This record gives sequence, structure tokens and C-alpha cells, in this order.
Amino acid sequence: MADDRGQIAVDFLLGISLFLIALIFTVQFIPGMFMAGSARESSLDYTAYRTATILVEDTGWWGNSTSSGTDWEEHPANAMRVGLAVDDDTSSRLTNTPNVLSMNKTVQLMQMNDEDLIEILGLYNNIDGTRFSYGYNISITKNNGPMVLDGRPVMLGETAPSDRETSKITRIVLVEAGTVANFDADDLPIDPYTASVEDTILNITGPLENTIAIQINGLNITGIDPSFKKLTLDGVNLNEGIDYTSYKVDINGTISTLTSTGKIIDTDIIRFYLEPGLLNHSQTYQLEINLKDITFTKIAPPFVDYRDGIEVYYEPAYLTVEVWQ
Amino acid sequence: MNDRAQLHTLEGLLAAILMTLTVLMITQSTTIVSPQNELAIDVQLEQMGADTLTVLDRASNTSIRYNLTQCVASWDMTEATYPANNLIILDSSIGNLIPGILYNVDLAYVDNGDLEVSKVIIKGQPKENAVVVRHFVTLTNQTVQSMNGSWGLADDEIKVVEVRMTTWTV
Amino acid sequence: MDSLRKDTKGQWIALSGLVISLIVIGLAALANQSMVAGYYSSNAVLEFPKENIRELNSHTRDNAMIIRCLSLELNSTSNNSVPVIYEQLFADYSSQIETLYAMHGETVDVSLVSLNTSSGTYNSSDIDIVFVNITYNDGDTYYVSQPEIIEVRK
Repeated sequence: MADDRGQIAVDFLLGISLFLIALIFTVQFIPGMFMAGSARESSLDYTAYRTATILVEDTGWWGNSTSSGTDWEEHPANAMRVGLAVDDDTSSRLTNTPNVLSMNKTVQLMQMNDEDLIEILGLYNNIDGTRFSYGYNISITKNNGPMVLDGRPVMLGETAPSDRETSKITRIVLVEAGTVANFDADDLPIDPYTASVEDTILNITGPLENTIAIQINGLNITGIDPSFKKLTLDGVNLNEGIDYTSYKVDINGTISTLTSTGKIIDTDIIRFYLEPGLLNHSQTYQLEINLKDITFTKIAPPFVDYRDGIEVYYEPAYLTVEVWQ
Repeated sequence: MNDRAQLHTLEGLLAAILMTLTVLMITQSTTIVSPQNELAIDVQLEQMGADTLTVLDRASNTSIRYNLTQCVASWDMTEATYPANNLIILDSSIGNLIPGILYNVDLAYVDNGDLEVSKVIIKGQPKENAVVVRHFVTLTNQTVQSMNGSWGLADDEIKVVEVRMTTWTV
Repeated sequence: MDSLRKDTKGQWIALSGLVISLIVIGLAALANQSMVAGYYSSNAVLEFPKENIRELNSHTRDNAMIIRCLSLELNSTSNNSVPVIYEQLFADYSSQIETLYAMHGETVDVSLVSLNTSSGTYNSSDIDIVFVNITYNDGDTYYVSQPEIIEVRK
């Protein structure tokens, strides 16, 4: 062992030890640097899943020192949790309906500021006491476009960056999208003014500011060319495409425009959307619906009022939550 | 004081930085290569399936033409044989909600104390990543009659039917 | 051979080999750990039967209402009182749902506790709240709701 050549490796050992100590130090004190792979991703997955679940399945909750309830949209300053599920009894925690979203809650959610939203939905990560907010994008879409509620598309947060890894979850929901007046053809009267059994009449009490939707099911087909002819409001013809749009929904749920396809069968539902602005005055309007080879049987009066058939309309849509670092 | 070989120290430092950068680059780049792990995709698929049945169950006939109970009530009690399926109204409702996802639907119910399982929608052979979701509906003779089904229930009878949907992606 | 044993110049090669392999092992361990974390959180989501429990609850709620309608209807043509018919139908429901859940290895118990009415008579549409006990067990998760209070008057 007199030969001490080769012991030069001690220098190397010192160097590599220093390097390793530095590396371990870095890894220890900047977490997330080397754990960049799945660990961070899974916490993102978890955040996306949790956020979507809270929004879709929970009604939310608000409370102050004296009262509490699920109608947090009425008390946004005291909101403890935000959830979008509809609730018919705001004082009880037991009556929520998962996957059915309330319009008021959704509109209120869109009005919350970024900071509050991150706080209340827990869209952040705590690393050694320091808070890192996640980037997020929450949107409700239908037919590949954003759903519009209260005149605004439902889209929160920023656009997801393309250069970074994001975690995304999509939920299928029914979103409250206004109202529709739903009638059975057997309940609608023959139009007494034209005295044609192929025409019916519906009273609409104004003023109504929004788009109104009218749907008729259970049609009685009596001829070879059952089809839709026109809509008349207080004797004035309405223009298809400008004043209203008309659709039919077949037994499979496929929606098509009425004019282009013409023929209606007895399992179809016909649906009209009247544009806003037609019914602005405080009076009772009479909407005549003229059909061909489809007959009505009831005798008017009494007339049927639009409000008698009105019900909340829920539209199938997709709620997507996407988060990233 | 030995002040020779200072360049060697700098060289060592440079080497350390180079090594750190290399390690950093490798760990960061692997992240982009694996976008979502397979289980997270399963979670999404299971959630989509469960949501589909929940939405169909909850829908009123203004939002979706027939709800889950009505679809099941309309069944003519015959089994499907591939590629035809014999619950078209349910098939089109599901297909509208989850485009691009394949599914088979079975109905299970208790008949005179025996368990019956019937296939009603067959889209193919489920893949390895398939998930199963279930929903239950209760039929009465009234719902069956209004949908022209052939369950043949007595007026004082209720029938609980399990709608079992197997979903997978290709 | 003897010269090779005496030559100690190449020690650093062996040593750096050792050190580098240690680094590789360390990094592999780190990467592996993070993969395991990803597996567990997704797996926890998949294994917890959230949808099954929710569906058992919501279907029992829907069913309580369907049975209420049916028993009020049957009462007009039957000698039995509404509560008797309700109990019979609910027992029928319980046995069917238990069989269907048992088919995929889940044990459920849905039993009627009491019918409650605000006026004391069951002859019209007076049944408004039904108490039901629900338990669910799939071997890993045990869920109990005793009683589940269902408002059947809509």
C-alpha cells in the first residue's frame, strides 16, 4: 500500500458529494421541481374532479350568525360553498337534485371575482405555507359552443394554455335555460275566427321580454300532408326566421326545422320560438297557429293561456372544468 | 495560500450546472409526454356514463324526448341481436349525450323470483377499459301502457328494472 | 494479472459508475413514487361507489312517490287501506332491489319505517313524509341512512 497513485479519486468523491448534497437540498426545498411528473398531475386531476363534482352535485350553502340555507345565490357575500344543483327547499340540505343546474346560481357564479372563486372552490395548492393558485377554465357548452345564460356565455377563468399540461373533466348536466309552454293538442281549441279545425289559438298575456318557447305534442293527423303553414299574431302574419323559428322533434329526439322537412307525424312534437320584442305591451295577444291536415277538437272559448302550460326548460349540456398549474 | 488550479474549480462548477440542467430538463419533459394517466381516463369515462343515465332519468320531456323510465317501459321484451338493437329511443338519447363513446345496455329484473338479464342495445364487444354504470327505474302498468310496452304488468304490481350500461372508448 | 492488481489509476471510473448508478436509482425512486401517487388518487375515485349510493338514495326517493300514487289509486278498488297497500308495495320493492344489488356483490337493505300524514287520515293525498332506512355495503364502503326522510307530496 506504499503506492498511493490513484488516490486522486478523493477529490472527485468530495466534488460529487458536494454536488449530491446540493441536489438533495434543492429537491427538498423546492418541491414540485423533480416531482413534476404524475404527482402534480394527479393533484390536478383531483382538483378538476372535485371542482366539477361540487359544482354539479352540490347546491352550495351560505350562512351567517342568524340563518343559513342552500340559496347562496341570494347571499353571495356569505356563501360558504358554491354549487349549481337546483334545490326546491332552500332550508334543507337533503333536497338537491344532482346534475340539474340552476340558472340563477350559474349566473351568480359568473359574477364572482377571480380571487373569491379560487378561494371558495379550493383551486389552489399549499406548498410550505405558500399558496399557489391554479389556472382554471370552467365552461358550460352545448353543440360545441358555449351556452348563453342571461345574455352571457358561461365561461369562467382563462383559456387553457396549450404549452402546459392541464387536467380536464367533463360532466353531462341539464341546465335551466328559461321556460317553455308545453301543451297537448287535445287541450287546444279550434280557432273560432277562421273556423278551420286545422287552426288553433293561444292567448299570450304580455308584456313578455324574453324569447318565448311554445311546444305542442299529441298532434292528431287527419290528412296525407300534415305540415305547418304559418303563425299569426292578432291577425298579422309573422315572418319565419325573423319573428320566430319553428322546429319539430321526432320520437328519437332529433330536432329539425319545420319548413325544410315539411311532413309531421303523430309522434312528433312541434316547437316555436318567438323572438323578443313582439309582446312588449301589457295586453293579451292572440297567437294563431295554422297547420295543415292536423286537427283540433276543442271549442273556444275558453281559450288556453300561454302561462297555463309554462314549465322550466332544462337543456342537456356539458360542464367542463380544466385546471393547470 | 494555494491559488493554483482556479480554472478547475470553475470547470467543476460548470459541470455541476450542466448536470443539474440535464436532470431538470429530463424530468420536466417527461411530464409533457404523459398527458393523463390511464386511470384518470377511466374516471372520466365512468363519470360520463353515470351522468348520462342520471340526466336521462331526471329529464322532463321538454328537454329530452323520453326519460329513462319511459324508454324502458316501451321495451317489447325481445332481446337484441347484433347489430340491430331494439330500444331505439333509448339508443338515440344516449347517443346524443355521449357521441364517440360506445355502449351496450342490458336490462335486469326479477321475474317470479328469478333474475332475468336481457341485452337491449349491442354496439359491439367491450374493450379492456370498459366501465359499467347502473341505474334503476320502477315501472307500473300505467307507465308501460302509456309507452305501449309489453311488460304485461298487473295493475297492482311494480317492477324494478336495472339499466346496466357498459361503456368503452375505441 | 499482477500488474492489473497493482494499477490503481482507474479507481475513479469504478467510483463514478457507482455514484451515477446511485443517482439513477434515486431519480427512479422519485419518478416511481409520483406514479404511485397518481394511481392511488384515481383509484380511490374509481373504487368509492359514489354513484351507486347516490342512485340507491335517489331511486328510493322516486320510488316512494311512485308507490304513493299507485297505492292511492289502488285504494279506490281495494278493501285494504292506503298504509297496508303502501307497505305491501314497498316490501315488494325492497325485495326486488335487494336481489338486483346482490347480483353484483353489494348488500343493500331498504325498509319502510313509517308513513306520516299531517291530517291523520290516509284516504286522500295526505301521506306527505315517508321514513325509510337505507343501508349499503359493498365490502369496502358501508353507508347508512337511518332514517332517510322522503317528502312524497309534490
